[in-house]
Amino acid sequence: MWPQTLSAHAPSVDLSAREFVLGKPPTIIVEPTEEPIFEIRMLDSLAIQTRDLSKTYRDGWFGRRKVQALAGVSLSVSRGEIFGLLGPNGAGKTTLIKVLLGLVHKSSGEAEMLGRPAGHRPTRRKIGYLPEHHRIPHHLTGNTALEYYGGLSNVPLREIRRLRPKLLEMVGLGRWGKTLVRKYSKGMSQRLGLAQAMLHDPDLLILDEPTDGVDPVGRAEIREVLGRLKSEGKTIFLNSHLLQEVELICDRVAILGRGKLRRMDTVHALRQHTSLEAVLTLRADESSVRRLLNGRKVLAAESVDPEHLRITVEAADQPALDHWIDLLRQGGISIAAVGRRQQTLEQAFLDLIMNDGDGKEGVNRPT
Amino acid sequence: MRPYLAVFKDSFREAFASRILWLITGLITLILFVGLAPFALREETAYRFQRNEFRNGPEFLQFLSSQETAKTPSAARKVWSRLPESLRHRLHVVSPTNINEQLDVLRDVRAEFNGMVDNKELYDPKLWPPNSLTGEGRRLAERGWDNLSTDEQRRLNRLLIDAAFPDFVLPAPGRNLYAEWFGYRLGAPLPFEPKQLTLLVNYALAVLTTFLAGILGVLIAILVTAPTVPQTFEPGAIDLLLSKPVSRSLLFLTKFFGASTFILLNSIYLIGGMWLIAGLRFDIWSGKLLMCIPVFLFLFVIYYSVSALTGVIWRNAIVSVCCTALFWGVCFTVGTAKRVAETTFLDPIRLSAIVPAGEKLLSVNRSGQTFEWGADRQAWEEVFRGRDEGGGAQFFFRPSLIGPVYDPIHNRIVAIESARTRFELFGGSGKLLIGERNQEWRRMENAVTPSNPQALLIDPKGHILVVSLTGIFRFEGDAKHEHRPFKVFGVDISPQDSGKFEKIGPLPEQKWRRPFAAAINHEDGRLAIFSHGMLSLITPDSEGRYTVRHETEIDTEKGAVIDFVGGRIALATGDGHLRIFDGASLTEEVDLTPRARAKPRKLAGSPDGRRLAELFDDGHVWLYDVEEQKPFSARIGSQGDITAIAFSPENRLLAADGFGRVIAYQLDPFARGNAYQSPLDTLQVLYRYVVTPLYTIFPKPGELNEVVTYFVVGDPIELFEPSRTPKDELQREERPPVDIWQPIISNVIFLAVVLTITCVYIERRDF
Repeated sequence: MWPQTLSAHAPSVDLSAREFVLGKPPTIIVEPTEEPIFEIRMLDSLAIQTRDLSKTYRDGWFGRRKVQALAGVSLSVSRGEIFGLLGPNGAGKTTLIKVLLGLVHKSSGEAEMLGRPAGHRPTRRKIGYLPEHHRIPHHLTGNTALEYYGGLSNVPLREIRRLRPKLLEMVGLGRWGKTLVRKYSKGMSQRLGLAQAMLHDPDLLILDEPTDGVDPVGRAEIREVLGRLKSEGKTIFLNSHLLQEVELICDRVAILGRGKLRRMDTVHALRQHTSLEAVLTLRADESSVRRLLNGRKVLAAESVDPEHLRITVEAADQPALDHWIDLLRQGGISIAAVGRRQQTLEQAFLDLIMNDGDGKEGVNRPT
Repeated sequence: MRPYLAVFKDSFREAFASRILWLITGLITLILFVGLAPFALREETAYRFQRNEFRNGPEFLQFLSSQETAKTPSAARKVWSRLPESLRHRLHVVSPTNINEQLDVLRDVRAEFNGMVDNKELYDPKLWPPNSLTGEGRRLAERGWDNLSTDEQRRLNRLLIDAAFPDFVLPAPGRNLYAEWFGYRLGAPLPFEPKQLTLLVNYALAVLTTFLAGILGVLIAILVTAPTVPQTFEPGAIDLLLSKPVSRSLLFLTKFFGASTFILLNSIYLIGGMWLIAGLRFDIWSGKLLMCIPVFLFLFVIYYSVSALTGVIWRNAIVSVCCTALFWGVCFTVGTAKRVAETTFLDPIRLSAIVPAGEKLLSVNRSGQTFEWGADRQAWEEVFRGRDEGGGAQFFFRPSLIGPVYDPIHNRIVAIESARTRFELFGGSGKLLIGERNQEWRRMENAVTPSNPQALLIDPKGHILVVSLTGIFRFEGDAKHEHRPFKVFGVDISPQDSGKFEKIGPLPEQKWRRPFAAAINHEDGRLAIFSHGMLSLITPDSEGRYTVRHETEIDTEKGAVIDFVGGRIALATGDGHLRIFDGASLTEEVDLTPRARAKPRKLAGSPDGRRLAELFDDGHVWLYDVEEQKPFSARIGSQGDITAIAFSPENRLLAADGFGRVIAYQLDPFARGNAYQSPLDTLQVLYRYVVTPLYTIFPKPGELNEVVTYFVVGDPIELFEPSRTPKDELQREERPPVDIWQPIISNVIFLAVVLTITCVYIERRDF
């Protein structure tokens, strides 16, 4: 556990002198020191934080084959935000979630959730989790499943029974509470999984492919539910392949590739940042522009009106863009507007992943 | 706590959602209400002769046939005269070598006897004097035929016929027991007496419970519960569970015991139902039967722990069931290997008696082979070998040997090889065997003994005495040479020139019954005889004829072992008591229960009369200082595995262990002396260093069934060896002592180890 981040030569911290007050952040007493304190950062505002987190699975006889699923992942998720975790299959997304929940033991590095080490048992009381391929026992009905999982989360039976109808209604299973789970469709099962994750009013929801198998209407409903939860101040850690959804609801996104964190930023910045193309609106006729740019690679050109022409060119960085601008201005062409081409998250994701090393997929968990 | 209660509750939800549960419940209901509830046991006066109530068949037929030429009237002749002419003729011509023909004739004789029980004219007071009848017979005879009910008339005639052939017809039980189902009688009367009803019902319950719950129930329970753990730990399900604030180990243990509780409920239904039926139908409220519920649950839990461990590792129900079956197979194989090695190969060569013979030491194994300790070769060497024996232990058909005993006057050993086999119908007398020291103990056959010899003794003058149920007999004649008996009508007959057994008492005439034990005082020839709860002191006169001097009743129906220790008589009975009597007046001096739960197998008094050693059937030896009247503490080795004891003429205690080693102990002061042991053979080495350690390590779930029987019945041997069967209960050689704690402790350790391994595995595993 690292409640503060200390630089080298940090003063000694008397951990035994911590005072914990229920429901309040811990007070840390730092002894006065002559050494300068470079950084003491309280992380209580963070829902999730990892530092150099690694996980290596051992496989085969005597565990001789090693498979690295996470390699030094450092990320942080603030409380109250919806955070998306993206990556191709085998990138280590599910492993990261399992390490956070304590289902998988980390190999090195550190991970923390809600201010406690990952896997801390009482902290799991404040976490709702929907696994990717969850399996709710088939002898349960919607109602008894919520009783079971609510009980596991230490929710009194009376409370479960009070909350149950509302929850089932919220996820669209209002009429299916008494039906055996074995008769549920994939989408219904997914909705029930979401309900059990929300039942104990968790501070942090970790959802692994929550809309998998859910129809478009259902997806919209789930998006609405997640939005409502966000408005209630809940933190949502979302792992999904459906990038359009992530784009729609996530504040920030992290992209994992082959066990490493490739990029972490807001959705908007990610879309901007990953664009390699510039769009220039020129005040000139098409023939003069063609003459000037003859032999150069122009990705697209279109006439906006009789006086304006819009062209799209490759400009991975600012010098490249400056070069295009200089060229046009030297040719006497006025530039009405310059901008980056806006990408979808999917395009940005694909650009990032395809440019990531050899482009191979990551590793699969041995289990 | 709430999360674990939720898991526990879910185990029940899962169970109740299972169709198999309802199938099992239906099956149990069917067993209880259709199979068991309609069962009943009905008691009737016993007057019919049953097939198993005859013994010494060939001799009996011969005896019956000989009544034709009997010159004096007798009860036997009267009965014979009532047989139809055709049957009397068949008795005359029946082939002595054709067992099937003999059985046919015997069957017809039995049928005629059964018809004879209605014969008003059978009783003749002159032929059946009161002292020849039992108390019941005398009372019925005194009341007169016409004053008796039909059942009583038949009973009287049955007792008359019993009294006419005391050596061949087993005494009739007072009442017969018949089994009925839905009111229909099931065959012949049960071979048990009504007083054994409780024992019988309890035994039946134990057997049924063992089969239904211990074998069938556990098998079904393993199949039913096998998917529980793998399903809990399969991907998707365990992720969801472990994301909750629960401990991995406790989650597993709760699931494990949740499934076990489900089985507990089924056991309660089955065994509780049987308990209720036994109570309501037979008024036998066997609380101990209910104790079997936790025992069977425990048995299930042991198998289930293996199923759960494999379920966690491979998360596959089929693999779990296969591994559990494999585990059962290994336990069964190890247990069976030990048992087979013991009963088939090792028991027959274990020493059952030690015979100090002058300066020599002899021993006898359970196969009846006699050995002499060879000081030169440092090994036991077989001596006193029979002419027809090829050497080696008789594993399956052992001769029944009484003795040998050492005769110091003539420096010889004497034994009786009984002709009777394990089948009582074809048995009777025995052959006297003599081996002289100066002829290297070469076995010489001699005269045929009286019927049913019980004890072989040597009196102070070196006379050979045989005690049978009808009296004391002394061998008179040539014992120096061999006189092999020959067979006539399948029966051993002494040759003309052989010695004879002369009856030398006792007076008054005695009709002894089993259980029986006898001992002789080597100083003055006094005899102490225990017969069915009666201890008699019998003394010889100057001519060596015996007279009963004192009698005292011992409050037991169990068997006994007896020996003189100095001037006193020590008697150890099957109920755990050791009593010491004054050897002159039979006044009881001491009554102890040294090891209440074990039964005595051998008593040995030291020649100086100071020490008494008692060997129990659990292989322990207990020593008693007779003079100071207190137990004598000594560190005797191999306690728990001692098979024979004796005192040497120098008052050293000789104790043989399960590996044929005899160790001599000096008692004053205590010191361990010489050890007499042959090198172990391959089988013994394997048993000692491979099978026994493996058996010790492995759990013993199968032995829990024995625990159940012990709980419910006590010692089941008492059911099958009632007093009227000929074999003395204490002389049984293979009686594994029932130690209920040993399997429980070993299984608890195993269970704890498996559950710990499972928990550690779960804690360390990535899901």
